[in-house]
Amino acid sequence: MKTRILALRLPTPAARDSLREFATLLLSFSSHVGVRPPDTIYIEISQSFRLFGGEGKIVERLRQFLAARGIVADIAVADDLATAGVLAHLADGSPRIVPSGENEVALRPLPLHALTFLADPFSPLPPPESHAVSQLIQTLHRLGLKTVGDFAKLPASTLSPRFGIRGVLLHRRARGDSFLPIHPFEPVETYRESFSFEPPIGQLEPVLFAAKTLFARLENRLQKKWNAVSEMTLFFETEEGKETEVKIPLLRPLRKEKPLFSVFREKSATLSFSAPLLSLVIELSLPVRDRGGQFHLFDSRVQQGEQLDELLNRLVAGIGPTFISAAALRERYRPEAAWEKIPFEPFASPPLSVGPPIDRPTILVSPPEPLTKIPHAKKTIFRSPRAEYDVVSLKGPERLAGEWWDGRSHARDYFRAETRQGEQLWIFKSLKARTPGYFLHGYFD
Amino acid sequence: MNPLVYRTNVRYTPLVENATSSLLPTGLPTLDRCLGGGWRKGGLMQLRGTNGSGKTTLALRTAAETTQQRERVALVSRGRYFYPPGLTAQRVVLSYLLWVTPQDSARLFWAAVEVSRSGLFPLVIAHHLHVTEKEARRLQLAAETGGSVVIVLAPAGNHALPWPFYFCGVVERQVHDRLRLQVIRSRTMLTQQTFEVPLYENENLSSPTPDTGRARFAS
Repeated sequence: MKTRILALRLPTPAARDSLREFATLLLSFSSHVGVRPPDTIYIEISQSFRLFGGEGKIVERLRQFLAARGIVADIAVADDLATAGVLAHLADGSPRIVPSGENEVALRPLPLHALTFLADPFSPLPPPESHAVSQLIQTLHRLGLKTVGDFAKLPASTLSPRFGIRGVLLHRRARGDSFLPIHPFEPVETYRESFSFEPPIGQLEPVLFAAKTLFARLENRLQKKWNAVSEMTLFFETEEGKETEVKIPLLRPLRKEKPLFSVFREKSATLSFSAPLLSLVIELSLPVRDRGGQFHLFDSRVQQGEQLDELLNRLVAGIGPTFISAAALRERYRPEAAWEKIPFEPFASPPLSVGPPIDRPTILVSPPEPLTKIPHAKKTIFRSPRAEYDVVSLKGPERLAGEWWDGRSHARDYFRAETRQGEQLWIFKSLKARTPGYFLHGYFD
Repeated sequence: MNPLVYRTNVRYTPLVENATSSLLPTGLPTLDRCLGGGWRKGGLMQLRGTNGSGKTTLALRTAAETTQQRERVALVSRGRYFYPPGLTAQRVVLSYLLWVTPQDSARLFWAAVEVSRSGLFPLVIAHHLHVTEKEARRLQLAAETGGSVVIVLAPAGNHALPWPFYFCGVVERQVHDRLRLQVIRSRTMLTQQTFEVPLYENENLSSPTPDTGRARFAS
């Protein structure tokens, strides 16, 4: 049976905001559904003919389905995805059904700017690519071509030297013989439970009690699908009619009631509302497969893993995700750029070797504190805005310089300084003309 | 067999408490000997000293010992404070280090309590943490619940030490790889004693002569 693709274009911004939700609903028509943000859905319908009684009936049922939801979409059906998509985009309101084998005929009268859609039927082109395609279209205009059919009539062998691979691919699509497969759409999976407070409440305790019940239900639902979730969204509606949305990204996916509830409890302790609450909605999203771990009698790593997930997510709920991390070194000469934040992965098994010892302070002063060298006959004294340092020994210099290639060139001579009080400082002398002088950059505390 | 005779022949051997399981090695053999084996788990410790006195290095040697045993360590401080290449220089394995850097004091204390109580971090090092007596008691109970050692780094000075602290020492640097630790309080009869603690015993970790050429960072 020949492939038949139905493309539908959602007309209004409100409908487009729910593109993925509509695509999820349309899975009831076919198991092969794809999306092209921001407004196009593709459905492979040839496998569904028997279920609905033919192509015409599918189109009619689909129109009724959308009309029941207040949507009048532009619909086109063709043998290939690109043809159906561009026809849906340029439709005049009535469905356009292209008989099998007549893609090229249907594409012929379309204006040249339709090539922009044909260049990428799966997503809007990024700026460099869309600029290249519009230049190609302008060139075709200058050559006197007006329609996609004019372009399709050009001999294929003349395209490569003039327009390159891009032109060759567009030419195939303009002739309707580039049969692209649908990229399967993954339906949005969210788990949502709600609770209404009658009468409205102004205290935290009843909210926590209600939330516990909701999380118990959500755990059951997640368990049935072997899913954990990576995001929690809370919707609070107050008596004033105001709805507050609070998104909590989870550092590690969770599935069980206890850790989910502990994250909720930490977050809700930081919230306040101007009026009593009418309802609470909890939505869990971004599911990931999680079959759980097999608890081992003598190895507590699985239990520890779950406890750690709960702790990390509670910390995130309390202080935010950007303040919880691990650190990794980077091979950079500039000391302040020599490390970066990375996610904390406690059960990875990294190598224990830490490399050869390098003389670096345990505390970095950021930004470096300018020092003034006080002239003295017998002593070396540096003064900063906060303190004075009577230096008795200076070890070094260690020159750190470079990185001129990214505009952050630096040249510094670093010294390890010991003061009369026994403090160990990391001082550098800047060798750059724009920022000369001495700076305190760290402590060997 | 006569059940009575059987019962009287049974000997109940009292469980021999493993003295070392309640202690966390400090990573410094001399300090371990002084403390009777290490830091006491469930205890709240304070190390005082000026900037550059070596108190952080002392705490980090324990972190190095702990992470090299593939155990986790938490660093809790306000904002960016510890310098990772410096930690690596002290042999700390960064992958086992959790950095918690809240922006205000209230959240800093809360995070320290949560991490200590969890039982997942044998060592918690806190900086910029000023606690009242009540807060110190909460932190100590959290450490006890979780079996963690909590080391609080504090500036030098004669500020009052809340009673829940199990140990408090003032750190001074003698030379760049030797510290002097004066014990202000200890529940193991060490109070008012002073120890000299070499930082790099039995290790090839003495401060290397810096290259005058290009520097390389440990990866």
